[in-house]
Amino acid sequence: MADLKVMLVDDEQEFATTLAERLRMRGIETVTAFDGEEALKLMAAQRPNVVVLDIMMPGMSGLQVLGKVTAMYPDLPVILLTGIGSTSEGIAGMKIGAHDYLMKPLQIEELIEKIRSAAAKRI
Amino acid sequence: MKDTLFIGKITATATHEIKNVLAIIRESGGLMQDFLNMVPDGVFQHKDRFLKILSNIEEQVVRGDDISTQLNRFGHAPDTDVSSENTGEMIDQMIELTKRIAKARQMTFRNASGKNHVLLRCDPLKVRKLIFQGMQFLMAYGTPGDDIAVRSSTRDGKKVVIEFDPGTQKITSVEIKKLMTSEEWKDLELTAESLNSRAGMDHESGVLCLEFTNLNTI
Repeated sequence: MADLKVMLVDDEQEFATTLAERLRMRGIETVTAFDGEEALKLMAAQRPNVVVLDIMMPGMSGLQVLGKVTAMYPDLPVILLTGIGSTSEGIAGMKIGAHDYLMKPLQIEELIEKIRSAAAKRI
Repeated sequence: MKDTLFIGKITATATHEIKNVLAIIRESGGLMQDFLNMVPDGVFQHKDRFLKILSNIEEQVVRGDDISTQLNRFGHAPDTDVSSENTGEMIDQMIELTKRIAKARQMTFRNASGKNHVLLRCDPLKVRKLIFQGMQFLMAYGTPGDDIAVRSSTRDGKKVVIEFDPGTQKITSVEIKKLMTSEEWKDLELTAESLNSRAGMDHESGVLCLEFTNLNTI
């Protein structure tokens, strides 16, 4: 998985940095962004293979970021993260182009499985 | 904005934050576990103890996640006046959210509905209230140690029934008749009437039964 690069976008900085470290320990190169604007700026320079994006963020929401990402990088798979105890937001995201979604708190093994599946789809 | 809508919105919003807190706790515990797993056996004498503590933390994250998920759904109950609700999910929700009260009475409730999905078109908040009132009634007058099976089913293809079955009957039919004159029972009946439903208690078995019309079964 050496060539796999993930961008993790979440305003919960403690969550994003800790999860990023765990992903790196499992051989997945991971960059973090703490809001939608930063993510969109970094995306062109970092060229991730998969984006993991929180839905509920201040400023530009996850779904707004998703809309921009799918318009700018139609082949770039996005996995949504939601803290909401229902699937409606995740499903709404998939309708506008997200590859998949996960509920917080997530299981890292499940996230990695979804990242692999998303990256494979892109190839 | 209705008061119930206000309370529900604040509750649901707070559960999002709780989920974020739980996510940070899980990842922090997970990262510690990752580091510990890199330490060869015998190098750090407290390794197993630390791993056990991290496993306890993870168990509590799962517990907190279950509670916050149910609380989130409960918080959304006042969003609509009428909707199609899965009775099994409503029972699960009320059992999870009232565990603490039942525990204080040394009683347990379990959802014995099985896998059949019974949908009920209803006022989602009021039906939850009625289920809670049923549980509360049994908690007030049941016996410590009771394990109450709560099950939903359809009857005659037209009605939805939620039953609270204490199993072995420990109180007499005379006592049950007396209980049905209590203030708690009157309150429960009022809620039932406002839903065009019916509450009853079998004098022999002690099974409390809530009967609803307006059903849709899948």
